[in-house]
Formats: sequence, C-alpha cells, structure tokens
Amino acid sequence: MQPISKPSLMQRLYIPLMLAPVVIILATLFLGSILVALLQSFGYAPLYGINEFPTLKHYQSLFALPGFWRSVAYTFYYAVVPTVIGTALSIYLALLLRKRFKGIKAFNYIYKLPLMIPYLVGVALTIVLFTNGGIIARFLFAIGLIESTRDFPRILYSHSGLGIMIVYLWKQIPFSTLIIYSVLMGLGKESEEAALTLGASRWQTFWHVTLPQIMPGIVSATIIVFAFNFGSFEVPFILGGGFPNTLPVEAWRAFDDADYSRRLRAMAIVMFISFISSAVLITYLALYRRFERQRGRV
Amino acid sequence: MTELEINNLVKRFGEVEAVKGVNLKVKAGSLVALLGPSGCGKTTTLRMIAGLEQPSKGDILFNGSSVLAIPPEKRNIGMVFQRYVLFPHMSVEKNVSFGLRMQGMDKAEINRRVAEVMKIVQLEGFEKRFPSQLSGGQQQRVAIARTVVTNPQLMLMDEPLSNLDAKLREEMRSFITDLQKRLGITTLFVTHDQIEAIELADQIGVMFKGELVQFGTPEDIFNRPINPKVADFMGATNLISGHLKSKTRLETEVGSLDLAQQPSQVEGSKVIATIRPEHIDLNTETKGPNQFKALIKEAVYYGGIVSYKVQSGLLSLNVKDRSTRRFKVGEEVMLELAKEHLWVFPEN
Repeated sequence: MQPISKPSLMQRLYIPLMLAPVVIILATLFLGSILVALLQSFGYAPLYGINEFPTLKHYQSLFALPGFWRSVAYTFYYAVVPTVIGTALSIYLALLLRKRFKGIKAFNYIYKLPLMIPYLVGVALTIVLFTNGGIIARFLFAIGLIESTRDFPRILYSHSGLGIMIVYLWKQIPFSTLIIYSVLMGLGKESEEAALTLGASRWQTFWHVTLPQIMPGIVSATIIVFAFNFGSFEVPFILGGGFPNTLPVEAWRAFDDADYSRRLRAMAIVMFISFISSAVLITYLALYRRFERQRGRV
Repeated sequence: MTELEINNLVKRFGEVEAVKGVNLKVKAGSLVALLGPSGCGKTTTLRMIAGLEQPSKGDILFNGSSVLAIPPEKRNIGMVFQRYVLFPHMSVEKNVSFGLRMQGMDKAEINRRVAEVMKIVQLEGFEKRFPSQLSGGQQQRVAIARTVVTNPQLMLMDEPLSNLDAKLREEMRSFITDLQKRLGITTLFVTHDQIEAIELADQIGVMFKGELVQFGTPEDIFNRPINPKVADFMGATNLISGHLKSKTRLETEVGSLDLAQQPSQVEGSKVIATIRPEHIDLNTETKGPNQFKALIKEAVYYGGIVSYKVQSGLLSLNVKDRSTRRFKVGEEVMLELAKEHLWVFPEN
C-alpha cells in the first residue's frame, strides 16, 4: 500500500483562497460595520472626538426618550401586519395560479411586475392614488360618494400606517407568491388528489395536506419579508405619520442631527433593531424547526 | 359490493382525444386490469372514474347510478397512486387514519380500524414511523391500508407496483390479490405490465390510443388476442405474412404452415400470423409439419432461458428456448411452429 502523501501548501490553501474574496467583502461590509456600530453605541467614537467606552448611557437615554416605545410598537406593527396579510393573500394567489383559466398567461406575467419596479415608484403611485387630492378621492367625489375630496379618509401620513402597508403589500405579495407558487409546483397535485379520494373536503385538504407541505416556502417568504419591513426606511420616512416613526427612521433622524454626539444614539438604535430583528427571526425559526420535527422532517 | 359501468367515455384535452368512447363493465367484487402502453388513456380513464378529471362525454355508473355530478371526495372510492403519495408530514398511523379523521369518526373507532388494517397489511409496529423511514414495499402497503381503511365501494390502482423492484413486485402481487379477495372490494387497476395483469386480474381490458380494443379473461387475452397489436403487446412478437391456402393452411414465404384454429377470413386472403417466442421449438433434424430451416443470428442467455434471434430468408423471428440445448450463432437449425399457438389476423 502506498503511504498517503501530505497535501502541499497550495492544496491546503486552495479553498481558503477561493473563499477569500467573498469573506473579505462580507467581513468588511457586514461584520466591520456591525462592529463599528456596536463600539459607537457603547461610546467609542474617536472620529467625532468622543471616547466614553464602555458606557450604556446612549441606550439608557434612548429607552427614556418620549415616544421610543411607541416607535418600537409602530416598527413591529408595520412589519408584522403586512407580512401576515401578504402571506395569506400570496397563498391564495399561488393556489389560484395553479388553476386553468382564460388569461392565466397574462395574469402570470402582470402579477410579477411590482418585483421589477422600485419601492419609490410604489410610494409615488400610492400618493397619486390615496391622498385627498388623489385619483380615488376625485373619483369618489365625481360619483357623488363624498361631498369634497377633503372628506376622503386619511390613509397616508398617519400612524395607522395604511399607506406604508399598501406599498409593502404591493411589492411583497408578488415576491411571496413567487416563492410559494414554486413550492406548490414542486409538490404537484397528487397528494391533494389522494386526500380528496380519501374523502377530505377541499378545505380539509388545504389545511391538513397542502399547507403543511408548503410551510418551508411560507417560512422563507415571511422571514425575508418581515426582516425587510422591520428595517425598511424610505417607505415609513415618506408615508409615515411623523414623530414617533419607525426605528430605522428615528435612527436616521438621530444620525442626521447637527449634533454629532447623537450619532452614537443612532448606533444604539441600529443595534437595538438588529438585536430585536434577529431575536424574532431566531425564535420564529426555532418554532418552525420544532413544528417540522413533530412531522418527522428534521 | 359495487358494480362499475362506463358508457361511451370520452376525454379531450384541447385537440387531443385521450379516451375515445370506452365502454366497460366491472362486476361487483371483481378485479379488473386496464392494460396498455404509456399514453393509451388508461390512467385518464381511472382518473375520470375517481372524479379527478371530468369526462368530455359519456357516463360513469356505480351500481347503475351516474356519479358524474358527485365530487371525488364524495364518491367513496379509494385510489392507490403510482408514487404512493403518502403524506410526508404524517406518521404511518396518521396517514392510515387520515380518511377516517376527515369523516370526523370517533377516536376509539379510528384506533380500532387502524389497528385492524395495520394487521392486514402486516405493518404492526410501524405506526409511529414516517413515510421517509419506510421501504418502497412498506410505503405501498401503507398507501393500500390508507385506502381500504375507509371501506371504499371501489378501489382504483394506478400502476401500483411499477415503482417496486422485481422481488417486491412479486410479493405485492399476491398481497393485493389476497387482500382484494378477502375484502371483496371491486377493484380496477391500471398497468402496462402484461404479466402483472395476467397474474392479478379476473378480467383484462386492453387499451390502445384511447380505445378499449379487447376485454376478456387473462386466458382470452393471452391465447386469443383480437389483433396483431394485442398479440404483440401480450408478447407474441413474431409476425408472419402470408395468405390462406385453405381454412387450415397458411402459405408463407418460408413454406406452408398448418393452423389449428380456423380463421374467419376467406381462402386466398392476405393475413398475418402471430406466434409467441416460447411456442417455437428449435431442432437439428426434421420431425414433422410446420418446420423450416433457419440460421441462428443472435443468442442471449437469460438464466434458464436462451433468447435466439433466427433468420429464414427475409423472415426474422424471436425464439425463447427453455431446454438445456445450446445453439451457436451461425448454426443452421430447424424451427417448429406449434400450430395450436398460431393466430391469424387480416393483414390490415
């Protein structure tokens, strides 16, 4: 038997060298920025002539700020509600797309259009449609349903967040539908047909057979959509109800303040967003894994 | 027990007519096979009976009553799919009890019925396992258990054994026939495997290009095929052209052949005779009638059987020889065609 020769230095370095470009970019952009934010949130910012490290005062002042906890609540509210509503509508749409009907090809193309259009265009469309002087208000006035366009209910620029959620849904329903539809296509119709021939009603078939099997797609879609909504800036910034706004908007306001020392509070908000968002997603994934384990998948 | 009747069943998918006016009657408690090559419309027929496809024309009757307006979940049928289609997120027990749970049956009754059927399919002790933890044969037995536990009036099986290996397939064949006889459920199954159909079914319907071309007992189909296509599909792969000299004599390019069965064609008409490879005997000397010389072109040993390709003039024939004799490629032999297995059809 020939002895196994030791790999050469180049052989040993081959994989690390191949990974190096990606690792360097990730380390610099992601870990580097997180590290800078973390240090600044604890008072280390020599760039602005501040070095109070280690201190919790920026977190303490943040939590004591009037409106901060309302800001946390709005951030959750604007993130969770459209995620839940959007997912439910996406499941329905994905199931609909499997059916044969006239115009399915055109529909299949049109529903994906928002994916290719920037969020800001969606914001502009929402403003054109839903403000007091917008198309819908004018139409309702024209048909006599409201006496003046001013009577049109306030949908945008309010803490109800309806405008924000409309934009999120407009963009995210096609995205979630695409993911869930792909899973459904991979699944095929046979297990649903088997359930039907065993006497299950359409609803029972969906609830007991289809839904558990498309859960991986639903979980992937909701994680991405929730994480985006939770950290989104431009939509609540433009369409939100003013102070207090979502955490990312408040972070930007603090960062953009003429007083540079506020940037440390901005970093504390950024770290808070990252922590809460990660905690929610990790808990969600842990619950999902438990669900899958109970079903013998993991 | 339920009798199934299919009247002039047609299914069109756009321009394509997948099923062309099929008529079929399955007696209560019997096991019938729909046999045919891929794409012949047998699965589509089965799916229409299940209610998973709506016929374009025709009627389906259970015990004389049309079921066309009844959705699949209310037809009280059981369907076993080619790929088992067990619910991967449910344990064996949950899979088997699925139909009963959906009916809202009492839990104690569900447990009793599941235990009973698990015993029948010999899967006791596998209740907590998931489908991914079972072999192909076990998965198929779970699929069957899940179907029979609901006491369906009709059981439909779509190529139930095609995903199993040869040994398991054999085991499952006898398992299915035993189970069907024991429970007495009227069963229709689809297959492209002639051996499977012959071994399992009380009656066989042979389908080609959307049409049911022959329906009869396995013996009828095997020994008295209605046309060369059925004969070929049933394994009679040798086709010999010729014309009828008399009602019992066929003139072919290799010589005259005696016929045991009297064909319906008139004397002098052009015909095709078929014979199965195992009904041709190979000799080294002349023994009697229906013999002619041929050359061994190919010889392949298949464990107990030698498959020969022989040539006589322009005629090429397949021969399966179970004897211990061996002929070499290039050797001259005498072929003897058993007259009682020669079947004659009109040339067109």
